[in-house]
Amino acid sequence: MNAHSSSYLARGRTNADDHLIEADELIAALQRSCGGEIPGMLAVPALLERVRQARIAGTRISGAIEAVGGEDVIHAWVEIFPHSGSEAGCSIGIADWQVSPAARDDDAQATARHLEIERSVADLWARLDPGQGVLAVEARAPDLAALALRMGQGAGRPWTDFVELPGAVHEQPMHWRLLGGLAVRVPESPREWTVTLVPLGGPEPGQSGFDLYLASDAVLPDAETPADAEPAGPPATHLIGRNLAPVLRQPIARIIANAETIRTRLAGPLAEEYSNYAADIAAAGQHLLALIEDLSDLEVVEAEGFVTAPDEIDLGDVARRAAGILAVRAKEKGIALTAPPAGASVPVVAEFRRVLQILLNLVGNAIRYSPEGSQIRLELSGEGEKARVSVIDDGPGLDKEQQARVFEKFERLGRSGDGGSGLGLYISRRLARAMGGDLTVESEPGNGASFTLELPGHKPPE
Amino acid sequence: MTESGTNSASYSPIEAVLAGELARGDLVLGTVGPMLGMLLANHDSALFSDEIVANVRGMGLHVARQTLVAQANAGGLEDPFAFAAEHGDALAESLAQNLQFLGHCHALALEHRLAMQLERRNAIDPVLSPLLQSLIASSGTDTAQLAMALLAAQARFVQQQRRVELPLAELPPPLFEHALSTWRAQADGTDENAIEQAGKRLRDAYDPQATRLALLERAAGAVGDGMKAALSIGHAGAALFLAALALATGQNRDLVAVATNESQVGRLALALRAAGLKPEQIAEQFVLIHPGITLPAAFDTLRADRAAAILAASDRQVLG
Repeated sequence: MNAHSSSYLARGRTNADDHLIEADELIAALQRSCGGEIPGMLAVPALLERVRQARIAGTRISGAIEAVGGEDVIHAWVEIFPHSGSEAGCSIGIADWQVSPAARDDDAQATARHLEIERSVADLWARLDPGQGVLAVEARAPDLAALALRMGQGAGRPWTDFVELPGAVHEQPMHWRLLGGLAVRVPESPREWTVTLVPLGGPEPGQSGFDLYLASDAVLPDAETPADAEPAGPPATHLIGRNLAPVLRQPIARIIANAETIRTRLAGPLAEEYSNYAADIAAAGQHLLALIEDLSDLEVVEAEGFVTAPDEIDLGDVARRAAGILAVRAKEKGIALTAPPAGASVPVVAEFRRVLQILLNLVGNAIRYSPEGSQIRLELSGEGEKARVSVIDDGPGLDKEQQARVFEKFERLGRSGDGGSGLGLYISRRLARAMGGDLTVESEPGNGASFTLELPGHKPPE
Repeated sequence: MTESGTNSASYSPIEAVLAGELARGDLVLGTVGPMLGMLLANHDSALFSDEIVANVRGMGLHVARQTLVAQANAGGLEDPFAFAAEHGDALAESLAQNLQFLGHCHALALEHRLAMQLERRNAIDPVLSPLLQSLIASSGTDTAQLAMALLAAQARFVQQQRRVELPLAELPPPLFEHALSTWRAQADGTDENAIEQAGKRLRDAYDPQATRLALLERAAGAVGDGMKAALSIGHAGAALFLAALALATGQNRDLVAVATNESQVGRLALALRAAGLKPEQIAEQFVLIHPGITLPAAFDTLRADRAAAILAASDRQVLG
């Protein structure tokens, strides 16, 4: 098997069902960002196609593939070697690997695409006059047939007369911009419907009327569905993570970068106070960015079926990295940050980046709320079944009632204006529990606090 | 080559398969030259853009699926859509053998694209044109009712075209018959009874007077004053304009729709002249339909009756 030659950047192996059963990190990361797991069905479409070809034809295949992993486009040269004999499957070798950022639609394109999708998936469609009165209507879904009939008979009346608007107290119909994206109910339908209103004509949008589309995320429950069929859960709506965050990140990053340019007077001399304003803008931008990240995380951890990808990792190593990353910030406040000594190692089973995320959150909090010149220690404990790392500070501490509330969503313990979102600890605890561990706090007012992350331990083989 | 190579009766199964493949391939090779030549000559031709070809294919598939779903429903099959998906491609291929059917799909796709272009460039509403509005507001209740029905039909048409659909109920009678007979001829997979029943149901649901094209023709006729108002594409919108031009010149509407393509400017100019439009009125239509093309200088000397005679002498009276 040439695929085992050392010249490859990464290697992987699939079985007779094209499941990826072994993979180096490069392939494994791509598999995961395409939504797959190991072992599991090969989730990279272009790679799967090649592997399947090679396996069926029983011949070696090499070629370029293109794949989208997260925010990046990956161009790779792959070589596939089908195995012969009883062990049907293929070896994968990666000979070249180029990563470039994925081209993102600009706003106009994204809007146009969004509209095309709404049009294609809409189950009810109507043409409205400029006053949003119904002119013509057609429905596809059986549970909207009655609505279409009523709208057709009541032609000329505003469409909002025929559906249930949520908490509608305004005089109807509202301005079309307010109605777009709204979720409405239809008496005969068990589903919730999302409104899309497209203004027609110009120069004033809506001058010639509107197209109205109703689409639903849910599938109409089939009367003939067998009773033992699993009911479809609520659709995973990663509204922020998938839709909002990518759009917001770039402009905010630009605001921060430009504000930093002004603050540091790179573009020329500037009065002190203006430089300070720019610093405020940059800080506000940073806060917004952090909030977006938190909200995206929140969506992910709250989604049903959220799982982490546990690995065998060294808790001591993660703790030292977290301390290293935040060392500068601690130093700025004159805080002594003590990491576990090099060589102190506690094997655990957890996902590396999630543990790092939790520790960064804990240490970051400790730095933020501890007085200048105080101490923060990261301590390891436990081995075998459970392993722990504690972040111990000399801050003001928490009373019993605060300890009970501190892990709640959006809980700020009365603080404000310090850049926190009130989500960090909530997310951290959800993550810890998703990995089979927990996050707890011990504290006495005035005597600092100790946040402890507990994770399932891993016994290295003898 | 051996003797047996020319005698298909003596082919072994694998030989027969490959010989069949070879014959099919030869057929394609025979058409490669003319097709490639045509595509090259009509460099980036809008007549055969990927979008138009894909739409034509999609409409054929949709017609095929509707008959198959009806058949599967009548036969009580568990998953009518899976049945339609399984047999749809083969049936669509047979449907497309009929060049009138293909031409009709092509004309619809071109009409839709023209309507979208006019909406984008000139804000001409593809559904509710000023002319249709005035018909709706007319005092004659028959005309107003017809116009409302046309509004709904036109609205459905735009939505169907966006989804690359062609409902059976919208086909002109000869093509409806073609679709049903083609499906019947190769219907399989359910018992004869179900096929019979499905055919009857489809026929019962079909009303040739209710198709959009029938409504358009009636509406164009109802405009009055020699359809002058409907012969202005900016005022009437693409759909009514094409219907009126077809009616005024006695041409097939599909042919008129294709005539709005830029490879057909001669036919369009002649048709507009034959319909009695004055040269400056024709120039107005050209500005909207072909913004980049101006009429030849001596065009205003062309008499309407001569234009009609030239058109009538064309060997193209129908698509296909």
